[in-house]
Amino acid sequence: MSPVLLYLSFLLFALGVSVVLTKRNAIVVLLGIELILSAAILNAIHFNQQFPDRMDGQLFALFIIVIAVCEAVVGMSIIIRVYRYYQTAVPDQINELNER
Amino acid sequence: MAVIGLILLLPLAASVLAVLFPLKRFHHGMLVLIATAASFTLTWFARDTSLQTSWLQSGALNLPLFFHVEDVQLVRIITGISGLVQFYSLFYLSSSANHRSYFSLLGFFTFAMLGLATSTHLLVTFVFWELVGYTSYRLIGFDTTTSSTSAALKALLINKVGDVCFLIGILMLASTGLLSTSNLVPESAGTLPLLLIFVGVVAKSAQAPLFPWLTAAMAGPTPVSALLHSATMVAAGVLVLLRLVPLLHDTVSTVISFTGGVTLLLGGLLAIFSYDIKRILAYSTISQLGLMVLAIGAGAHASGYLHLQTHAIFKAGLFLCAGVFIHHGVISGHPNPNDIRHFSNPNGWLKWSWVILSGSLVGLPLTAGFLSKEAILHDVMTFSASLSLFVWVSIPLTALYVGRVSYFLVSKKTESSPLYALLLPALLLSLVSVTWFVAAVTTEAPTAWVSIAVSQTLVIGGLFAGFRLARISFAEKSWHTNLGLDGLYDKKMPQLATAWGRAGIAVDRQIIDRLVHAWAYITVLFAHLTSWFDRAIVDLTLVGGSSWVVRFTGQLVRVPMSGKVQGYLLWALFSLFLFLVLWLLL
Repeated sequence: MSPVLLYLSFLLFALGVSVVLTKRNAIVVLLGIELILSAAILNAIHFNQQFPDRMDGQLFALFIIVIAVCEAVVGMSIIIRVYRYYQTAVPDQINELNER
Repeated sequence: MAVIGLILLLPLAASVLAVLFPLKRFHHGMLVLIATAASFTLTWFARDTSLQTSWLQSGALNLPLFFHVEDVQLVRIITGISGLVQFYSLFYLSSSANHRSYFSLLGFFTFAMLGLATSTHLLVTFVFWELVGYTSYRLIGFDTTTSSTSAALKALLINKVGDVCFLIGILMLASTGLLSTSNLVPESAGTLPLLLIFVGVVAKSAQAPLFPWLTAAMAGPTPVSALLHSATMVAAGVLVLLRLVPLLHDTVSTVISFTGGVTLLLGGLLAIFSYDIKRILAYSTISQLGLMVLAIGAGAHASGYLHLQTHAIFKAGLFLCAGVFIHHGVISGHPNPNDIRHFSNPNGWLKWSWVILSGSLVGLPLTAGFLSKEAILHDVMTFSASLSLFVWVSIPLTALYVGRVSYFLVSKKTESSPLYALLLPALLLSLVSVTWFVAAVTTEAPTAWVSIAVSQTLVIGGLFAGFRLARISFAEKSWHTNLGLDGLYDKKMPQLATAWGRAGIAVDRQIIDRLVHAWAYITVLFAHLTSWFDRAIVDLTLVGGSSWVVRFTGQLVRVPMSGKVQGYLLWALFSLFLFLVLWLLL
C-alpha cells in the first residue's frame, strides 16, 4: 500500500496549519481549516483502503465533509459577526484577550 | 506644764519677742535678761523634774521629747551665767551695735543650751547641739567685719565636720536602739559609733586637732566669748561625753583620754606664747576642756563633771574681767586693746576678782577650782598612774601662763574708773567660786594631803616662774598661734577640697563622659547596622526580591498571552505536540 495519500495528507495538514497560523485574514484562516479537514478526509480514506470490506472510513469522510460545510457556514457567520462588531476581519487586530 | 518647760521656754519666748517687736534699744536686753532671771529663779523648784511629750510619731518612728533635770546645779549655772552675761552685755555693747538681734540670739542660746543639757534623747540632743552651733556662728560673726565673718565661717565648718560624724555615730547607735541616754546598758555599743560621736565632741569642745576654730571665735564680742566659747557651749561636747559614760569601753576610753591629755598640754603650751588676752583665755579653755575629757576617759567622771561646772564659773568670770580690761583699753584709745602689754588697770575690784578667778583656774585653795582640780588629780591617780602624768605636767604649765598674764594685769598702777556695772558679774562669779569652796570644804574636808601639797607647790612655783617669764619679751612666731594648724585648715583644706573637686571633674570628663560618648557611639553604630539590615536584607532582598520574582514570573507567563488568536492556536498546537511526544515516549 503506497503511503502517497498519507504524504499528501501530511502535506495538506501542514499547509492548513501554516495557513491557519500565519494568514492575516480570517476567511483565509477558514480556508486553512478546510485544508486540515481535507487532510483528515484523506487519512480516513487511506486507512479505509486497508480494510476494503468495511465502510467506516468512507462514512467518516462523508461526515467530515458535512462537518466541514457546517463549520464553513458557522465560521463564515462568526466572521461576519466579528467583522460587524470590530469593523475588521484580521485576527491580529482582534486582541481583546490581551490585557495590554 | 512642768517647771522645766517654763525654764526652757521663757528664754525662747523672750528671744522671739525681742526679735519680733521693735523696742527701745535697752529694752531688748532687759526683756531677755528678765526671762533668763526668771528661769534662774525657777531652778529652785526644778529638782528632778521632767517633761515628756511626743514630738514626732509616724509609723515605726517615734521621737519622744523628753527633758529631765538630773542635776539642777548645771541648769542653774547655765541660766545664771547667761543672765550675768546678758546683764554685762547691756553695758558692754557699743550703742551702735544691733541690740535686737544680739539679745535675741543670747536668749535663744540660753534656750538651746538648756535643751541640750536636759534632753535625754540623743536625736533631740543633736537638734539642740546644732541650734547651739548655729547661735555660736551668728554671734562670732556679730561684728560683720571680714575677719569675724571668716572666723564664724571657720567655726561653722570645723564644727560641721564634727557634727556630721556625731550624726553618723548617733544613727549607728540608733540601729542598736541606744538613743535614750537615761537607761544605757553598760558597754553595749560598738567602738566605731562611739569614736564618731567623740569626733563630734572633739570639734565642739575644741580638742586637738580641731581646736583652731575656738581661737578664731574670739573675734566675737567678749561677753559672747565668756558665755559660749568658754563656759557653756564648748562644754556641750563634754556633757554629751558624760551622758555616754556607761557605754565607754577600754579602746574608746584610751582614745578619749589621750586626746584630752594632748589637748591639755598643747593648750597650756600655746597659752604661754600669746600676748592677746582673749587668745590666751581661749587656749586656757582648750586646755581645761582637755583636762575634763582626760578625766572622763580615765574614769574620773564625777570630778570631770565637777570641773565642768567650776570651770564654767571661773572662765566666764575671767572673760568678763578681760572684757573690762579691753573695754577700758578701747575707751582710752589703745590701738590694740587686746594686747596684755598695753593693759592698764581700771579699778581695784577688777584686780581682786581677776586674782580670785585665776586662782581658781590654777587651783589655789579658797576657790572652786581647787576642789575640782584636786579631785581630778586624785581620781586620775587612782585610776591610771600613767595618765596622771598629763595632769601633773599641766598643773605648773597652767600656773606658768596664768602667772605671766596676771603679772601684766595686776602689776599695773590702778586707776579708778567707775565701771561698776561691768564689774558686778565678775565679782559675783568670784564670790560664787569662793562660797562654793567654803560650802564644799565645810561639808567634806579634803583627805589627799600629799598630792595637794605637791600640786600646790607646783602651782606656786609655776606662778613665780610665770611672773619671771612675763618680763621676757619675745616676738610671736607663726606656730605660736594654733601650732600652725591655721595654715592647714585655711589653706590646705580648701586646696584639698579644690583638688578633690578637680579630681571629680577629671573623673567626670575622662571616664563618665567617655563612657557616655562610647555608649552613644555604640548606639549610633547599632542603628546604622539595623538600618543597613533593613535596607539591604529586608527591603531589597526580601520585599524587593519577592516582588521581582512575582514580576519575573508574570513577564514569563505573559509572553504566550499575546492576545492574538493565532498565537493561542500555536501554543495549543505546541502543547498538543508535547503531549503527543510524551504519549509516544511513555
